Amino acid sequence: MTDTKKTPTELFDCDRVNAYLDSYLLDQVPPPERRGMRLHIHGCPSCHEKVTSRDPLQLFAPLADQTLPEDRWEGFWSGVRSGMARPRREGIAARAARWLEPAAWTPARAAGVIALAAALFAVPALMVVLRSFEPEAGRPLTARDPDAVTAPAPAAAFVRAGEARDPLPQTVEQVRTPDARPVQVYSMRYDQEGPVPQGEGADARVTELVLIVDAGLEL
Amino acid sequence: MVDERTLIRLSRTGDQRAFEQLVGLKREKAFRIAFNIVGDEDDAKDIAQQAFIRLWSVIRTFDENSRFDPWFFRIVVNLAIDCYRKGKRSPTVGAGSFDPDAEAAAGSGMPPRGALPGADAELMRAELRSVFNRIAEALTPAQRAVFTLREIEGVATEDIATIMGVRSSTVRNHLLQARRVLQDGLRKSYPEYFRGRR
Repeated sequence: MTDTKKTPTELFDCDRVNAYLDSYLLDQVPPPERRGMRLHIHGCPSCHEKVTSRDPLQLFAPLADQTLPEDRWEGFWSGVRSGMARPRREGIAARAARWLEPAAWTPARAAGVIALAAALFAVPALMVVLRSFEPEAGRPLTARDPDAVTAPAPAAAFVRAGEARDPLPQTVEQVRTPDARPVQVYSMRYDQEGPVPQGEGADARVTELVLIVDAGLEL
Repeated sequence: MVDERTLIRLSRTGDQRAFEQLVGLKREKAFRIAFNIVGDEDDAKDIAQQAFIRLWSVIRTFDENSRFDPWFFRIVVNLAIDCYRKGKRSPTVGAGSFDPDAEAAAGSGMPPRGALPGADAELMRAELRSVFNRIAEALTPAQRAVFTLREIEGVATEDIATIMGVRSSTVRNHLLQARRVLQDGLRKSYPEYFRGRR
């Protein structure tokens, strides 16, 4: 298959097609020769019969030689050119890729990006630093703290009879006011009597009472 | 004529004249691939145009060390599959080379006039197109694209995998399924064309 003076079509007669038929069907014939074989096969009833009896779908092989006459291409390039001139709506990825292209980087853009990155880094860092400078007041006292004072639990009289049942377990927290005065915070939860409101969960009938006891407050 | 690599390189720099030549070089194959997938000449030409417009906008990103055809035909195949899925037009009619006699004969299940080898090649292709479009309706868009690329265009399996963004094993699987469906369709609807083992 190396005769360079003949076109691929001229290279193939029935004998030659028969010799290379297996390779043709196994797609082992290079494209120019394959085209020559194909053109012979589909113009020769006996070769066509042989090929399609081995692979019926070879029937469609001539579709590979489909071409449009030149007049049917009229206006094709002008259509492409007008599409090229139209500003295209770019996707986010395309815009990001274009924005990141090295050629698009100016000193001003670089400075802006560095400033933005610095700001993004600085804000959380500043918050951490400020938090570490918060005054000690407000810190919860521990039981061992000498400032911790004990106070009697608030009387059940705060809860009007008939409105609540037995108080649920209460919690006591001792904290300091901004002027460093110790106060006690009582938090009590009461289970309300009566039906649960329609459409609400069991928590709807629990009332929380928060009581702040300031021993140093003068009334 | 300037060679393809030079045209690609010049097009990447924004040379419209080079790009026009590149379009002239690739339009037939782009059209044919689209035509065999969507089955309609007007749609296929629209797809080819859209593919070149898109190519113009992305050609700067093409790596000149890689192969151009699989990279470009990926655009064509994706557009064609999208078009085929949308089903804008019936894929049963090959508008460009449509022959009413062939279509009527194909529809009736009778051997199309002039279908035997030796008849006018263009007429035969029109008839084949009609038969192919009818039985290929049973294929999924991916199967149809794989069959077109492999069996009609003779594109290598690895290149089809690149074009379609799938693995080679998936391409082989699609091809196997497509061949089965088409052989069944040919045997049932066009037994006069089916000369394989029954």
